Amino acid sequence: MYYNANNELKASLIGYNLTHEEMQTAISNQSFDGFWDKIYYLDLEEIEIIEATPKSSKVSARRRRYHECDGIFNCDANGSNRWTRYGNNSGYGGYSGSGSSYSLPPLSNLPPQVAAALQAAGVFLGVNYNNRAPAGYGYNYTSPVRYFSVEDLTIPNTNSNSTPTPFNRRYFYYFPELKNKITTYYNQVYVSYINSYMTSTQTTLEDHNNKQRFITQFFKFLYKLRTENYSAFNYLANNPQKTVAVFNFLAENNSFNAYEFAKSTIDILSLPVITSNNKIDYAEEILRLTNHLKSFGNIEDEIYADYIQSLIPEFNNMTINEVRAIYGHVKTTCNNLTIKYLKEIITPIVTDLVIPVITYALFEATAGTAVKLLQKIPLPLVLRGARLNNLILKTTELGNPGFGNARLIPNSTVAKAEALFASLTKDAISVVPAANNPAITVAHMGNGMKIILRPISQTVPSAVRVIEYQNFNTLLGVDSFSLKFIP
Amino acid sequence: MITINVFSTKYNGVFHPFGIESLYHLAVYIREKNIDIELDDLNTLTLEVFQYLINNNIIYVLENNWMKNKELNKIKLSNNDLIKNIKEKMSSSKSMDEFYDFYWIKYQNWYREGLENKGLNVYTIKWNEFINERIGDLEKWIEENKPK
Repeated sequence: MYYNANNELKASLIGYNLTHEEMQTAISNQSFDGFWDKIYYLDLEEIEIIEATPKSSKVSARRRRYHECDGIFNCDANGSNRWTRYGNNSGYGGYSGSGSSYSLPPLSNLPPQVAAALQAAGVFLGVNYNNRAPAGYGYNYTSPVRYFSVEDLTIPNTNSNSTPTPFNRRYFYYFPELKNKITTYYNQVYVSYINSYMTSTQTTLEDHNNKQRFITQFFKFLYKLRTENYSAFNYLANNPQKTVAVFNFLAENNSFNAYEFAKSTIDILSLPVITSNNKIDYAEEILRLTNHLKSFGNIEDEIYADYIQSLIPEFNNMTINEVRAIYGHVKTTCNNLTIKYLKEIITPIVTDLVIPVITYALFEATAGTAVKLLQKIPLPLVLRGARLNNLILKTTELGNPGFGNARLIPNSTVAKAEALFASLTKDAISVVPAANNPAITVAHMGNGMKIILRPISQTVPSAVRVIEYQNFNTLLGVDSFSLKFIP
Repeated sequence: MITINVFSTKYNGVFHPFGIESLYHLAVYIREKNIDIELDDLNTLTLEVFQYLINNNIIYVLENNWMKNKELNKIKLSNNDLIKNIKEKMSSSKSMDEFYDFYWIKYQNWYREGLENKGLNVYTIKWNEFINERIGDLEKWIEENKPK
């Protein structure tokens, strides 16, 4: 007996025309591959008992099965109960036996190799290899095997001494979304044979146990969070998507470190946006946020965190609004990254993280602060190659389009433009005055690529400085691209 | 032999007074329109456009102090001498990068102001639209407006 995909109990007999050795091979392979043409099934719902009219003695039954009706095999076509060969030859590319023309049996709706995979994983078909047919029949049959469903799950209670509540009877007061989430999670059954997950309402004891263990652990984690950090717990309760993200993350990364990370993540995400008139408050928050990035982020995030932390000593010279604005950028960036850590490993390149700060510096910050923000851009962020290229690309989107290959950067000063130029060219091969015109500064970036600083633009007379990217064709698609800084 | 119609929509960007800044940028502009052009052809075309612009008194070559280009500062070259000078420089150059430092240009005030009066500013990037709506026939407009 087995449950089909619609969770209906079906009964069929499966006959294995296998020698003892072949059966041992199949058991050790956990697969019937190679033997499909020796396996038959009979739907018990459709069975119609025909009196066996063996024309042979018991002794020769097995040998002659293919030729004569023995009540089970090879009976006259008038009978409706037919043993059908497990052809495994229905065009799915499996082993195709010796010219077998039998159709795919309706044992389940799955293609044979998937059925095989499930069988190998012990799912659905539940073959009990130890059950032997009665002596003399030479084939085996299946016996009932128990499968588990999400209804068998239990959810622990806050008081660890009390009996866990069955999943179906549990009311998820704080996390209603978990009900569906857990069901979806439970119904994802991993099938190693195809190295993928399949949706199934039934699973094996082993899989059930693993899932039960995780669910228990996850709820204990939530209970602990509620005692230790109520505001973080409350944040989760109010942000169902984040709860699901944390659940997914922990389901995939079930280790002590993962739980520590989840704790820190929830903590960081649950931090409110602070409003203060004290720069020190912002500095403390910024440190807390950037330290989280340094602990759990990748190298790109660490460079970003270092850059932001290097700005903290400059806070004294900034206005409270500027400090607040920087804090705002960091808070947003940190939240976005933290959520990304939960979902995937890929994080943006550091230049993408820094662009909001550069944009702020160019267009909003006071001159002094802007120059500090631009000057402090660290070397690793402008290393020639991917990071510098990305940063250059981003700068060509700043400000407003100008005619030709140009962007006009309003609200500019000489100092801002020069600070940006100095930062962009920190990793230059050389920075020298142009041969025939010392007023032009040329930074050689390798392979003929140059970043050029010009004191004025002829054609945009109001421009105070021009930064020109020359020969960055691969990156920018043009020989020359200019950022024209206008006051 | 490649010929060029400076007033065609393909090339008329050279008339935008807030675009091209130097002979180098003029060459870059022309090369963008003719990606696989040989250097000799590029030089010829660049010079042809440059000559048109300078002979019609639309641009002049900058001799400001910031250039500190002693060679150009010492003598005030006539247009013919300037062209000759550029030709010599071009013939000895292996790429257009080499004359980046030379021949910075500026659009004449009459020309820029005339267009500004028609509503042009540094943010005008739809140049063809501007010409069609505000100027009409640019060649004719230049003829009518250039200092006599």
